[in-house]
Amino acid sequence: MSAPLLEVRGVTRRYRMPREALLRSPPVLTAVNDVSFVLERGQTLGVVGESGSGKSTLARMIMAFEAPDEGAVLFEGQDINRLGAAALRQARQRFQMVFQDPFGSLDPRRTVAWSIAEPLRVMRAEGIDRRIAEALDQVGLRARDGEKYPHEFSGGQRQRIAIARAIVTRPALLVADEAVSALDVSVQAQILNLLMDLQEDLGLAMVFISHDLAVVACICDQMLVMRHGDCVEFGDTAGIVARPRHDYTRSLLVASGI
Amino acid sequence: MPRLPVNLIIGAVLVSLVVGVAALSLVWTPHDHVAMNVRGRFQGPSDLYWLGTDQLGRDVVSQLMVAARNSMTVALVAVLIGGSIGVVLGLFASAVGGWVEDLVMRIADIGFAFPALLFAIMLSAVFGPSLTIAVAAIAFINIPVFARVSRASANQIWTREYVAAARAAGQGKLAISRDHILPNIAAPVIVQATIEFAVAILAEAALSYLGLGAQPPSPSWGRMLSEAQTLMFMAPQLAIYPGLCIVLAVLGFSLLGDGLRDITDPRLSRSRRA
Amino acid sequence: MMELDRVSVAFGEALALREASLRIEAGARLGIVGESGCGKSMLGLCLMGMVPDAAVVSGAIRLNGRDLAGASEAVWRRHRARDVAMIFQEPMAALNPLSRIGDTVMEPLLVHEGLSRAEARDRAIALFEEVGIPEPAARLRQYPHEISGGQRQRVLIALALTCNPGLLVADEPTTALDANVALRIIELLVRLSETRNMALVFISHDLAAVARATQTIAVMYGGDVVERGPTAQVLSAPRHPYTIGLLGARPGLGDRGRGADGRRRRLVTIPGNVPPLFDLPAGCRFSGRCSQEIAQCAGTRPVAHVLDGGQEASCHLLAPAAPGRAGAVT
Repeated sequence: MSAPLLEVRGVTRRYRMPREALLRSPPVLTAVNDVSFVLERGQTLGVVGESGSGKSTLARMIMAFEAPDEGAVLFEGQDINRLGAAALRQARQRFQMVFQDPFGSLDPRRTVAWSIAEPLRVMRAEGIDRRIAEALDQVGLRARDGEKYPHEFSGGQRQRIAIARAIVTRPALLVADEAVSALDVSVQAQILNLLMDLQEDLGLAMVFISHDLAVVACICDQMLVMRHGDCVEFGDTAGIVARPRHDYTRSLLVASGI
Repeated sequence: MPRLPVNLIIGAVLVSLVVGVAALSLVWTPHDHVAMNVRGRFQGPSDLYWLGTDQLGRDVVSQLMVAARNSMTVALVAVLIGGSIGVVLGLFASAVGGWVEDLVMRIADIGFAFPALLFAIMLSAVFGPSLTIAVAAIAFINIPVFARVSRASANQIWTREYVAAARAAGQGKLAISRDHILPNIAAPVIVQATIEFAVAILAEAALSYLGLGAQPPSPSWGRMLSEAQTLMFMAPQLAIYPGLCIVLAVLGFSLLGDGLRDITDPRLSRSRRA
Repeated sequence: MMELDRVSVAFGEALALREASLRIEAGARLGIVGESGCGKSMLGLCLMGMVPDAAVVSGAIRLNGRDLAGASEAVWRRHRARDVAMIFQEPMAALNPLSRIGDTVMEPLLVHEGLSRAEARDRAIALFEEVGIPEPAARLRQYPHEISGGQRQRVLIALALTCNPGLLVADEPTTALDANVALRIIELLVRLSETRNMALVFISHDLAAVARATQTIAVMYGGDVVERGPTAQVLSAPRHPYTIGLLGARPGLGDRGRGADGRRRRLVTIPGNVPPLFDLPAGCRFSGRCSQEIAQCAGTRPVAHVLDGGQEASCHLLAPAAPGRAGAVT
């Protein structure tokens, strides 16, 4: 049996806070505390928690934007924090990210095609134009939309562009950090459906991070509930929705139902 | 259509006037600016000499025009050199971060604290006074200014999601600085450059006034001012004209810079927020 | 208590609000739902007389029977805080970061009510207790950044209550808050409305929040009120295609999972995007995105059809003579 696609092994991340008094050592905030999980190819994992629960820090560690203080993130069996700079850059094609803010995740001064092609240029891929057109088509946009600038699109369309950029390298893992939170409900449903399509058609594994338990429940096989940096509950989505074991999960369930 | 701020309009008019006159001097001046007319010294304004002549009988208008060109050239070259070095340093500090950033910025602070005139006098003492020295001195004092502005703006851009997306795409820090950071800090850097242009004009005038800038016979507002100083009671107008030119040019670029900042970054604006 | 009678708000050619009519009874709780750009915030501003200067307002805005649509700023200011008060989405932005929260809350008491400092302080403490802020006396001395987002929103609610308004307009009051905290704020608003007999207009894009907070609901799209009625009834049996789509698009906790083909069940979607204000169709604003569109939708504006139980929906399909009447879709 080969290594799982993604294994997060006991990661902990602490931040030093600004010093409060001159002679006292600065307080330490534990943003993520000893979180572990395994994600197989093609599976979806939802990470639910409120602001400050550490879910975005977890995403940043999976993306190797920052290294854990303890524990390790293993992607296809390799500890991504032990890769050299060049090897990490090559490895990044295999795990990509979609961000929360559809207005902030695209450089306003670059055309859509330029932004989508960015990861391809890094890997010196061939047939860039064809692959841009293909990615735009996969997210339901037209090839000629590539010539436009981000401000010419609505929030939902921009999120489609961001998704096109994330899948253009044909990654095995997509990390979506609050990817639908900033969208209107009707548009949010379109993007969720698109993510489900891509996930099933391309065999993508996904780490889907959201504060909204209902959104996570509709797209994820497994769910990890975080609070103050701790993992309070982890298991099958259906099981957790039907029989939450932790009070906190229960309160999130109450809050997200009509 | 939002209304343009008043300072931008006034600044733009003054700047186009000064720059226009400086450009015009390349192809045309009413008289040869170095031609002396010993019998026609200290003439008042006339049809022939619009603003009269100076102590050597040279046409004041022609001298002011060529001096404008010299002043613009010095300011442009100095701001370009100082600005480029400063922006590169700022981008570098912001991209690397950590103790390197601290080190670069502390050095910039020291540069800030160093009086520019003192530096120019030092250089002149070593290399002899010349326009090149003046340009080098003004360029040097611009480096920390631009390093600060570009680092502060770059640090903001580094927190944007599209930069994180570029990192996720596998882009290195150099490529991100070039492709994303530089184009997006252009606006504040251009604003700063406009304001520094005003400072450079003033610095050039001051250095020339002290005899450390443009050397005769090349005219300069600052030197015209210092030469006129000794004749203050005989021909006060000779001091007033170059002084007025300095004021208008500095005011023009300052207002233009302020105005540009108001429209590019409304948060820093004082006048437009109710 | 307050009534909007065919109120339109125009920015040049674009209508942010098109002949919207609403009645707010004393002590009643009304929800306004819709997506971004549907005009719900503009409606809230109409109730406060705070429509931007660039806009042209027509129709009647009646407060206790008196039309204030064309009233001056000075007239409106007499009514704000006393008759209608408002709270906003971002509690940090609405509080002065440099002044202690006690001073912020006491200021209107000192200025408008002419109380002494000691009286104002007692009133502020009583208000903090009423909105559920623990240790109110200690809180008075704190600054906005020292308290949590939920507590800040409570402070703003206390501030809105200082002059005992008959109507509180809450514009997305829970959007910036975590789900649990949002629930507590909704409970507080409902309780305050009941104990004080204060009307509440709760504006939100969040159907779950509106469902909890209100008795009646108005669904807005493109500047129109497209459907209204008792909240529970509208949400369980929506009749306007937009309301139906909006409810379907919302990921619920019900049986999602996978279909028979092993693929995950998809959400119901409304195609396209919310169009910008200046690019709305002339007839029904929802035409162009509606799955049940018929010939007259794009050109003719539908009238509101009164349905059972006080529900109303503006859709051509609900006209008695319409082909294939809508409503069967739930």
